Amino acid sequence: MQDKENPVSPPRPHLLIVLAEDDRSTASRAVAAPTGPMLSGLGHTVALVRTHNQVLEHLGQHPFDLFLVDILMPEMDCISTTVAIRNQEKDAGVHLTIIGMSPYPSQSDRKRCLAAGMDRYISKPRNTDELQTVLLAFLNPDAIQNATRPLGWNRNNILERAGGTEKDLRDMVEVFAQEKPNLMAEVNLALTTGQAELLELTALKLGEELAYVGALELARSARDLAQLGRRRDFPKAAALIRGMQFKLGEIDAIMSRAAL
Amino acid sequence: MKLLIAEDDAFFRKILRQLLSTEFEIITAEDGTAAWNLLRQNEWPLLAILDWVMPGMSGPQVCREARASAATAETYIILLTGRNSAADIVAGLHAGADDYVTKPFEAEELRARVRLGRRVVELQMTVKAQSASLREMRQRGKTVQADFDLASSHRRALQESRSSRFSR
Repeated sequence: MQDKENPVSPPRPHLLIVLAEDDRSTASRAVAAPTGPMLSGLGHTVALVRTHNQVLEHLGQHPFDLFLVDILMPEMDCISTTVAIRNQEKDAGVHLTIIGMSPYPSQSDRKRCLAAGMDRYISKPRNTDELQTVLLAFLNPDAIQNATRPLGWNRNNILERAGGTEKDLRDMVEVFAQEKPNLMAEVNLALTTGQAELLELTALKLGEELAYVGALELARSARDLAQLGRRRDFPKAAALIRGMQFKLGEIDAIMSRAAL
Repeated sequence: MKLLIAEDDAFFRKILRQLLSTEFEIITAEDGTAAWNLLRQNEWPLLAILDWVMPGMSGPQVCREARASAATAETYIILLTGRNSAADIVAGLHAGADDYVTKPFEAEELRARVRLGRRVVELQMTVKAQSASLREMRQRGKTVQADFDLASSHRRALQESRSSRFSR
């Protein structure tokens, strides 16, 4: 077979976003569609939260690019959450971009949100186009964190493995971004149709790919997944895959940024 | 030089193509059976990278078939795999592989090993060409010898007939 040689294009920016939104909130739904699916549709990785504690827990575990919060959350006071985040940041010397969004924007809310430490206060995007406009305004490369993330991924090692040049690294990241979804689809198919052998084989392949691109922690998980496939332990395999999904999104984000 | 890449994982197929396509003319196979068909139906490629685990025939199986057939016996074969225990390496080499690369491989190391393969193939071809011309020379030598032998025997016969005439 003949692989088409693709022209090199930088991978699409990919953000890690904590989204505080209650898709059950009728007040918000009356005005705008849920933001989570729209963000996922644009290729970003979303952690959906509903409470103050969930927000802080997520931010403690991963360096996110953006905290997007619907200010009409029934179980959460976005003002005190913002203040808490800003207080924690004082010690660490970092700054997370926080965008408040309201289905019913008002001047008084805007003042309160900005005073609490939000970077922007916007009218809640009603569709993907509006959301994209907001994110594009945010998506200048300087705004994207370049921090090393705690997944054991080492840019220099992988640059060398890929052949030593920036183009080699870009090519590798691009091929991984192209092929990973197919493999994940196959993993999920194997899981949902109960094909243990396929699950084992595909998980082994995934593990080899992840090891090659330097996502060692995830490669280990993939090998564990292959073992679960061999033992036909589908419930545990399903749980492991759920756990891997987020980190896979994160490794995508790290690599696409590192290869820019 | 043509290089066969047999790998069922699309990611590694593309990566290998990217790493090697500037130096080699790449043909790819997505499973072991297709790889074996490509190997035996053509006098090229003389260089092949075979993944170990593939649907149809495995890399080592293709290796064994290739070694058993005169047309493909000299193909330089590199086995590629995630297995890296000593027993696996021995099994791979036992199947007839010339070399062995484990995933995850380093791009430069892989290139170096494939280049080594190319040198071996080129040397083989040179030796073959030289031994062919040697055979030809030897053949020509034999003809000359035969002519010489014939001439000698004629000469002997002549001498004998002369000496017998003189002795009378």
